[in-house]
Amino acid sequence: MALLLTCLHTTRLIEERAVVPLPFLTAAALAVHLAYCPLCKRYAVQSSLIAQMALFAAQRTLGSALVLPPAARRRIQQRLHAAGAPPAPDAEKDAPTV
Amino acid sequence: MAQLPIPTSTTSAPDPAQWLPRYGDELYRFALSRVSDAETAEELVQLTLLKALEALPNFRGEASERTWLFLILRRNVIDHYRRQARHPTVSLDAVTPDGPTEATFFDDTGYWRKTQYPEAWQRADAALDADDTQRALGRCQERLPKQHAAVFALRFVEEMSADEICQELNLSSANYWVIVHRAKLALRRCLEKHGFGRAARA
Repeated sequence: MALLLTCLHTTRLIEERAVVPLPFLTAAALAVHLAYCPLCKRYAVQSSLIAQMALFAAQRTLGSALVLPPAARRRIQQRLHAAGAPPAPDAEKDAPTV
Repeated sequence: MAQLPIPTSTTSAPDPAQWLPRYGDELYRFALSRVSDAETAEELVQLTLLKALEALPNFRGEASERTWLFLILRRNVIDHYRRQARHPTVSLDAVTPDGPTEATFFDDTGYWRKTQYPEAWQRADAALDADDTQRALGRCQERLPKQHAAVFALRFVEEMSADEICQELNLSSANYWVIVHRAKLALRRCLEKHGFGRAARA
């Protein structure tokens, strides 16, 4: 591993080090590059922020006002019933009006 | 692994007649937090309940009915990403050729192209879970090549390990890292262009 890394190599290693420990010399080369390259330093911070944003997206609770649309509910109920599930207690209420 | 919604109640014997009234909305919201469109989320809920019905004889009551349904839904979400990652013209072990590559961001010597210099983010201190932040990330994820979007979601949303993702998508470790790197480069750039960078603020 050369002590001087390119930005391409550095940004790739930034992704890897978040998951796997880097070999000592590679980690040292990465630290050296980050010490003198403000662009890659900025990338490292922003890459971590993106990972945190994605995690927040997974854990956030969508508002309870967001409900399964009635048409989809009816369709799913019909499919379940056709597959052998007993009818839901309020299936008649949800039944399409014709 | 990504956390599932915290159970609010436990049930004893599963009651398929109650699944939709009791859990339909919650399952839908969970699916919608993972996929970009309502139609796909509806399909995932339907598939989950049908699979649960099929698997009902094997339900041992080790988890609550609700937890069990969410586990089936999460498996369906992962399968959805796997289908998404399948490219019609290349094998799964090949990195999708469309979308930006390293050459988009770095010059021949491996250093940042001037036009691609990362800018300071003006909204770096903004709430990470703010609606507009989440919308921006969602829009940028949709712009990724399908295979990259799938790998990104499995890694950073579903929090699967690299080994698990390689196994699910039949990727080599080397290709996995190429995809993660390209996805992050593209997302970073996209967020910068759409609200986070200095230029977007000007």
